[in-house]
Amino acid sequence: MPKLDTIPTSQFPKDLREGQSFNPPLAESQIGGELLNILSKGLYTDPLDAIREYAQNSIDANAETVEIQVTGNSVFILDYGDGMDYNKLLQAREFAISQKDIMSNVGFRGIGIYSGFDLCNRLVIRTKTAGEEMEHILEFEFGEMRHKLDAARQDPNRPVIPLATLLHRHIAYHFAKSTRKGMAFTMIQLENLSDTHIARLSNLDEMRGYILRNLPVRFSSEFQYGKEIEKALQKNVEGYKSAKIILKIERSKSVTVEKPNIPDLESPRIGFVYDSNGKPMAYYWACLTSKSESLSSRGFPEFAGLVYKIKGFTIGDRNYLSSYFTRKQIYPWWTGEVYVISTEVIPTSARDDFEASPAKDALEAAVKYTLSGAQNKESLQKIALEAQASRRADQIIQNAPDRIKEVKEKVTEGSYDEFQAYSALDDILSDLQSQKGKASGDKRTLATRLITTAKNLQKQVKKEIDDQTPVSVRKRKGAKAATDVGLPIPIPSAESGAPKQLPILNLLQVITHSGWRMREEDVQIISAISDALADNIGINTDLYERLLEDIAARLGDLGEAK
Amino acid sequence: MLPLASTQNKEAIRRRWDKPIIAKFSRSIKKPLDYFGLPGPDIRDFHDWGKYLGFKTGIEVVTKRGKVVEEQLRKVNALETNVILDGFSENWQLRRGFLENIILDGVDIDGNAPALLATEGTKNPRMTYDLHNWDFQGGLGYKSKGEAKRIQALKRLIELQRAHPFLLLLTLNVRHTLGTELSRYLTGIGNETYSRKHQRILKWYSERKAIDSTEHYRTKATVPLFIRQIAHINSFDCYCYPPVYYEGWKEHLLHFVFTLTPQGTTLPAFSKQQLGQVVEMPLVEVHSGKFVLASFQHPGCRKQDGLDVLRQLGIQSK
Repeated sequence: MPKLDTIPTSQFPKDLREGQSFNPPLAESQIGGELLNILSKGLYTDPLDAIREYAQNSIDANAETVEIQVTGNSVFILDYGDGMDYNKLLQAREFAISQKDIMSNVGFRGIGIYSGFDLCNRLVIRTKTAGEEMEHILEFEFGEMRHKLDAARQDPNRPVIPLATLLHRHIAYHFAKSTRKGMAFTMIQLENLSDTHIARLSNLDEMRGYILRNLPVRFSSEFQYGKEIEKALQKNVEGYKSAKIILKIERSKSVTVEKPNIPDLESPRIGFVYDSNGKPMAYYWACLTSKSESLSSRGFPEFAGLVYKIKGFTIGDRNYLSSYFTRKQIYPWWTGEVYVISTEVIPTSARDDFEASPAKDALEAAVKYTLSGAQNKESLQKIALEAQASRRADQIIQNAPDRIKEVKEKVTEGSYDEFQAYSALDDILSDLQSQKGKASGDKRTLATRLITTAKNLQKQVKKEIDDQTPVSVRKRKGAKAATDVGLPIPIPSAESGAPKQLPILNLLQVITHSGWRMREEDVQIISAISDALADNIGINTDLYERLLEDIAARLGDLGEAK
Repeated sequence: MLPLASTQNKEAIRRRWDKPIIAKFSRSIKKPLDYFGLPGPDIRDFHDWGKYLGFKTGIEVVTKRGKVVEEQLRKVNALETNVILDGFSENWQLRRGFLENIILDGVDIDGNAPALLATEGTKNPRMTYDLHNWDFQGGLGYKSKGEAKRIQALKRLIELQRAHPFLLLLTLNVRHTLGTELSRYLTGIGNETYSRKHQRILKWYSERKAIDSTEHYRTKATVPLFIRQIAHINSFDCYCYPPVYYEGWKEHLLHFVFTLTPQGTTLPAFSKQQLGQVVEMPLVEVHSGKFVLASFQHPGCRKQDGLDVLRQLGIQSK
C-alpha cells in the first residue's frame, strides 16, 4: 500500500485498499456559523419575505387569524393557533430540520425561524398552549451573533465559530406565569429593525399587496362564491388552510386583508387537473367575468388571470400561467387559483417557480390542457371564447332592431335609395343569421323574429326596385302613409339626395362598402383581424368606431388614387 | 411577585383614587384621554382605566448598554405582548428609554418621538396628551448625579403642554438626595406668605427628618407647591388633590394628582385653589388597600377637613 504520510492514522482505516472508499468523519466544529449568514442573506433580504415565513408558521399551527403589527422599531406576528409547549418550542431552534408534515404544512424547509437573522437584532418567541399555565419564551440574539461573526471575519487569525456553538450561546429560554388561562397563542417579535426595513413594513399598501399575493387569505364575506370555493378547497386540497390577516401599522387603524369581493362574475368552474394517467395533479377554481371586458379593465388587475398555489401560498405570479393561453387577450377575463396537490412538485425556495422535475413537466402539461387544450372542449380558453362570441352575438342582435327601424323609417318616409336600403338589410340579415347560432337563448329567439321582419322589409324594398316606382310617387305615398299614421311629413332638405350612412359594424363591412373586391381567403383573413379588433378594443367603443372610420376614409382615398 | 399588601395599595389608588378623577376629567373635556406614561409590563392602567383612554404612548425604560439591558428588554417584550394580547394595541405606541430623557430630548433611544409631541416645522414643540401617568419607582431627584432630571422634566412637561388641559399623576419614592433643597424651598414659600398659620405649617414641614421617619412629609408639601408654581408661570390653573402615602415593594411612595387647566393669560396665571388650601391639605395613607387620614398631620390640621376631601372623592374612611 502506498504511504500516505499526510493523513492521521487514527482517522484512516488500516486495511483500506486502493479503490475502496470510506466516509471521513466531519466534526460539528467544521460547520461554521457563517453558514447562517450566507443562507439568510441569500434567501431573506426582503423583510416582507421574512414576515411571510413567520405568518406561514402561524397558519401551519392552525391559526384562523394572524395579526401583523408594526410598532416602533419592532414587528409582531401574533396568532391564536395551537401554541407550543416547551419541547416544541425548542425544536424551533433546529437548523434545517423540519418536524412538519409535508402534506399539511408549507413551511417545510426548516430555516424559517432564522428568516429574520439579517433583519433584526433580537427575535423573541412567546408562546402558550391552552392546557398550560406558563408562557414559554425563547430569545434569539441575532445582533450578537452577527457581531461575533463580523469580528471573526476581521480577525487575522480567522477563528472558526462553529454553528452549533453560535446558536447555543445566543439562544436563551425562560418562562413566565401566564394570566391567560385556557388561551393558546404564539407571538413572534422582531426587535430593532433598521429604519429602512421599518419604513418598508409600514407602507400599508405594499404590505397589503404582498400579503394578498403571498399568504392564504380568506375571501371577503361579501364575495358571492367565497364560501362555496373555500368549502371545495378544504374538501379537496389536503392541508388547505386559510386565515384572516389583520394588519396594524402604528397609529393607523387596523386593516383586514382579504380577497376582495369582485362583482359580476359567473359561477365558478371547480375541479381537478389530471395528468395523462388520470392522476390528480392540481385542483382549481376559476370564475369568468360576466361583463364584456377583462378584470384588468374592470379595476381588478391584481386578480386578473390565474395563479399557482401550494396550500395557499403563491408560486410565481399571475403572469406565469398566461403563457398557457394561446388567445392571450382572453386570459384576464378569468380570475382563479390552481392548487398544486401533487407532492412530487416542489416549489423553489424563493417560491417563484417549481424545481425542475418530471413531475413539474407533468403538472404543466395537465394544467395547459385544462386551461387551453385544443382537444379539451371544456378548456377555460374555449369557454371564454364562446362566452365572448356569445356576448358579441347578443350585442349585435340587440343592436339589430335599431338598424331595422332606421331602414324602415326611411322606407316609410318614401325618400330613400332603394339599393342602399336593400344592401343594408342584406347586411343586417347576414349578421343575424351568422350570429344567431352563437347567441344566448333569448337572443336567439329575438334573432329569429328580427330575421323575419328584415326579410319582409327587404321584400317590400325589392318590390319598389322591381316596380321602378318614381321617387316623387314614392314620396307622395310616403307622406300619405305618414299622415295616415300621424307621423310628421318630412321636409326635404338641400342635401336630401345624399342618404345617411348606416352604421358600420365591422372591418369586413368597411372594406366591402368601400367597393374593394376580396377573394374567399381574403375574407377569412379580414374576418380574423376583425375579430381580434373587436376582442381587444370592443365594438361599442369610440376607438373602434374612429378606427373603422379612418380605415374607410383611407380605403376611399386609395380607391380615388386608383 | 409583589407582596399582597403593596399590590392592594397600588390597586386601591389606581381604582378608587385615580379612576374617579380620570372619569371626571374625561367627562369635563368630553373625550377619551390620550395617555402618556409608564404603564408597566402588566399594563394595569389600561385594564383599570381603559374605557376612559384614547391614544396611548407607553414608556418603558431601556438603556443602551449595561448588564440590566437583557432584563429591560424582557420587560419591554412582556409589555408589548400584553398590550397586543389584551386588545390595547389599537391607538398604541411604545417609546423606549427614560421618561425624563424623552421629555427633555423629545425622542427616545431609538430616535422616535411621542406621537402627540409636535416638533416638525416649529421652534416651540408642543405636547397634547390629556393624561400623564409618571409612575416612578425612584425619587424626585438625585443631586449626586448632577442636575435633578425629574424636576427638569416636570418643568419641561408643563411648558410643552401649554394651552392644553391635562391631568398629571405623579408617583415618587420618598427617597431623594436633594439634601436641604426641599427645606429651603418650603421656607422660601413661607417667607412669601402673609399668613402666620401657613408660615408655621410650612416651617413644620421643612423640619421633618428621616431620623423620625417623617422625611416624606417634606416631599409631600414640596411637590404640590412646586408644580403649582410652574403651572402658574405657564398660564395654568392648578388643582392639587391630597397626596397619598403608601408602602410598595420595599419602598415608600407618595402619589400626587394634579389637574392643570390653561387660562390663556400672558402673565402668570393663578389658581382657584388658594395657596393656603394647598398648604393645609392633609396627608392620606393607604394600608392594605384602605384609605385613612395619616395619624400624623401638620399642626392645625382638622380631621374633618380631611374626611370631607375623602368624601368628595367618594372614599369611605375612618
